[in-house]
Amino acid sequence: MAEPTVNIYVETAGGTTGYVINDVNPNWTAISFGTSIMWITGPDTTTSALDPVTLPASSTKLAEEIWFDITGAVPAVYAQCPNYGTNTRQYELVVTFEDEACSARPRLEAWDSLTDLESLTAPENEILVGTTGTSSKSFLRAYDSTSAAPGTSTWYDSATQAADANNNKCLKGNQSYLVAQADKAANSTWYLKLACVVPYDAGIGVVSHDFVLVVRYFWV
Amino acid sequence: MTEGYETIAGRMNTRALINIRYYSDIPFTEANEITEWDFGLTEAGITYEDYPIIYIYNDSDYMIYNAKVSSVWTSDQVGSYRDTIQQTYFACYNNGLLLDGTIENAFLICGIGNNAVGSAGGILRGRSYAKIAVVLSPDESTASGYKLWRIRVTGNYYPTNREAETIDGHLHMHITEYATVPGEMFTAGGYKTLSGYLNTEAV
Repeated sequence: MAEPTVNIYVETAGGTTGYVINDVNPNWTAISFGTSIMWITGPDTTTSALDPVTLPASSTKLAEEIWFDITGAVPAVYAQCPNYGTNTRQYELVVTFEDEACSARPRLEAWDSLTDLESLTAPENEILVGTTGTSSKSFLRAYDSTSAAPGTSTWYDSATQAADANNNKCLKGNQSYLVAQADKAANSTWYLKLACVVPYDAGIGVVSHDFVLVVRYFWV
Repeated sequence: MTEGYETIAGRMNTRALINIRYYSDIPFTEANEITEWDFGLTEAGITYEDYPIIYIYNDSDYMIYNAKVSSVWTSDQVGSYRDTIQQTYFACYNNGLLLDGTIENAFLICGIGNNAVGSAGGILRGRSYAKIAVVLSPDESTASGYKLWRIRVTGNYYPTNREAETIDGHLHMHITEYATVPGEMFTAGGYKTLSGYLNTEAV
């Protein structure tokens, strides 16, 4: 067994077709690890302009959209993931493990920065530590949709924040992360649903709203 | 067992809630007409946030000439709320004119003191955005209560998109958003500012 080739793709067509390794996948766009940037946005984002998320008057809301700056080009060109959030669409992000199997189930984590990831420094950014409005839970939620989409439209509200293997997790460093719900053989796929819950008391702007999404995988 | 990882950077941008479609339906029938929004009792306990601002949208066919915008705390209050308006900014990006020309000749007048009227002047063109930042003096107390707050706009009307003799419209001033003031407007943080939940009658 050796290190698998790991790639990630985003569904940019709002379709219902999964990703097939070594095939043509017109609905899926490759994301470049370390280059692409994921933006959590309001409803009026376009391919050239990002719309901030307007805070709710009370309680929490689901950030309306996520977009990806795929190439980091200047000016940026954004691609939407239309299947984001909703429980009616299974396919949002897919991680592929090609040629080789994982020796343990991979994880999806979120950290403040690459530096903090490497030093295992606990997150401090508001988006990952939460506010009173989120009961001090991370805004970012993730669900393993490899076998099926979440069962309820507000699936993200029941995400748990703990170090366990439950599906539907709040993402916060190594304190709470999503573990794949099944082993990953060679040439397997791992589908992920994301949600960003925004509380009324979130800070305004981009400060403390940065994060790094991490796919951690294992081999021998 | 060996482990590796791959990363994707992510980011979210947020903005405050206020998006009030509030307008004055007072006809501008002569010069120096006054329109005023009384926000009623505004909740105390306004939080410290850096640089919020209120956008006002002149959605009329009129340009307000020699506009003067005031923000006023009245002496009426409930409880022991003691905040006062320290300064009112007529905000412009780049410390000057908006690049798209929606405000011209904007300048700053600051009123300081208890119950002060902070005001600012300039020309609000028809169908244009103006930006007003109301900076309140820091309140060392933790008092709770309410206080009346209002924005007052005065000036000479000036038709822009109609013939001069056609003066049958209304000045519609929308407070549309509560957002972030450009950082160069201020030199230090710690402003106590309006943060939402204005008691208004929305359109």
